[in-house]
Amino acid sequence: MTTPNDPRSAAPSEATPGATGDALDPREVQLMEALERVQARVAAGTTLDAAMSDVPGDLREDLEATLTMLDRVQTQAAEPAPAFAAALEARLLTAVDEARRDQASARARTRWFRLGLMRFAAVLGAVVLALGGGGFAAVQAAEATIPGDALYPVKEAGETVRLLFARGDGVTRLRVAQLLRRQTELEEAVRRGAPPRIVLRLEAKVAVSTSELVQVARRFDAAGNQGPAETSRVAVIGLHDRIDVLVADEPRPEVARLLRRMALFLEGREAELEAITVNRERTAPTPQPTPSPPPARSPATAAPGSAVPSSGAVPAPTGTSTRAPGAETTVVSDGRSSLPSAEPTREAADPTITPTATPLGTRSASVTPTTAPTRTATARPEATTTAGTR
Amino acid sequence: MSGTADAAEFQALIGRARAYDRDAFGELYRRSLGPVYRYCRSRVDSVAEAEELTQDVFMAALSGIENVRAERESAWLAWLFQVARHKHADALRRRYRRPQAALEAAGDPIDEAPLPLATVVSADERAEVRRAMEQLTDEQREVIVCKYVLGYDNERTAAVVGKNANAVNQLHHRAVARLRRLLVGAEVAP
Repeated sequence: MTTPNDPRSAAPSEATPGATGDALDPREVQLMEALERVQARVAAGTTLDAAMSDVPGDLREDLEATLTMLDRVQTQAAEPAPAFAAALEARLLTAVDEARRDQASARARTRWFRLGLMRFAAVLGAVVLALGGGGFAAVQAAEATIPGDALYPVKEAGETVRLLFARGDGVTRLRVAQLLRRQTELEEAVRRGAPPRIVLRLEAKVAVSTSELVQVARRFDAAGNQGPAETSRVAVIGLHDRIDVLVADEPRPEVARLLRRMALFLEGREAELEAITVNRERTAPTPQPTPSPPPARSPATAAPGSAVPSSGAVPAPTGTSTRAPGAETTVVSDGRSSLPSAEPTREAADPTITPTATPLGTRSASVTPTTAPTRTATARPEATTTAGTR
Repeated sequence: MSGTADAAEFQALIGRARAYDRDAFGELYRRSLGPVYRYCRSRVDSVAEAEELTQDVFMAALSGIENVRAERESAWLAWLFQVARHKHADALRRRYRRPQAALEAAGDPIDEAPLPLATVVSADERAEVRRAMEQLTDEQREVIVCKYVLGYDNERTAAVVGKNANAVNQLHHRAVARLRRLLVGAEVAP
């Protein structure tokens, strides 16, 4: 209850929400204080007349009117009808039961969802592990296959995928690696005594690989990058040499005929690659310090005992045909070379080849200090050309 | 029972209701129905509207019971009144979009028991009072409803309105003065 001296009554705080425009004048303040006193007395059990006994006469009428007005406000209150209260309670309790069931089922769904998710994750993990491990094992196993084997498609798919993601020099490296795989497959097919149709399939694959290699080399050479042409040429020479060895040892005429045809084809690709290299050398703006003789198919074109280019001048890519003097090529007891495919062994296996000078487009042992790949020993500077070994 | 015990008991009741305990929600309903209905009745024209609004309030309370954090009954009631305000505003918006014939002429059912201080007033008089109350600010109206419709003392009114006793007192004075101007129609004689 407020008192006449209460500052809240005399000067209502404007901070009160909703106070704007509702400021009370002094008379209203007196009236509200009187109202509050009377209400407190009535609430304490005093009769209304007794409660209003000390209200000044000039305020009494206004206070009675205010009390009457508040009685009207009280009539806004009403109790709910019992029937309505009971019906609403029944509806609410039914809704409570439904909500409880929904909550329980929702929790169960959440639990099952989590459980299902965990199971799915576990199964997925197992599948990934199985596929990953199995896939890796399959790819590894496929590396040793030849056309006709069950896993050979895996090997082909792997090559295709790797090529898809290869860029720049990586394309050449992959193509060379492909060619080396074909070489290995060819050796394996011959070793197994695979039927001619398998060799025929390999011949087709070799043709595709080398042709693509030549195209790639041309593209790079046109862009000023000579490395791929040289690398490709070395790889093709290596395969050619290996096929020559296989031809010499192949007892089956049909297969030998296919191998010879393959060798002939490779010779043409070698010529193309060499032409790219030589053209580049001819168009080079800076003259070579040492005149270079025309490239020859055989190292015999180089003068016996002449110096070979330093190792730094000759690239030694994968599958390089650079070789030590013929003595390094060994022939195993069955007549096949035991050297890796990168080591040409034509001279050792085919001593009938005579060293003859050939025009451009044939394999040669360049003596110029250029970067042209040569069939010469380059790993050791003191090595010399193997003149007369073919 | 002390206030602390009341609060603890009420929190337990709310906790069980939050878990959709049938008995707990029934108890909350029985405790709250009277105030909520009276509050709703003070805001609408007819008993039917008051009943509909009351039903909406309790259904909304059931839907939102999981999020209620009322520690005392006054806070629970304050929340219910807030829901009632929103539901009433929604109803007014709907009525504005789809105007309906006024129900005031139909009058109220006669099953409403008169209050001790109440006099028999016509539906027009009830509507006039309600319109005057709509002229008050939300807070002033809340105070008037709490004190004169729900019969709460200043302390409980303050708890429901969420203000201290002084603020409630000032709101009360201003609300009564404004109602007086609106309903009695004359300024206090100087």
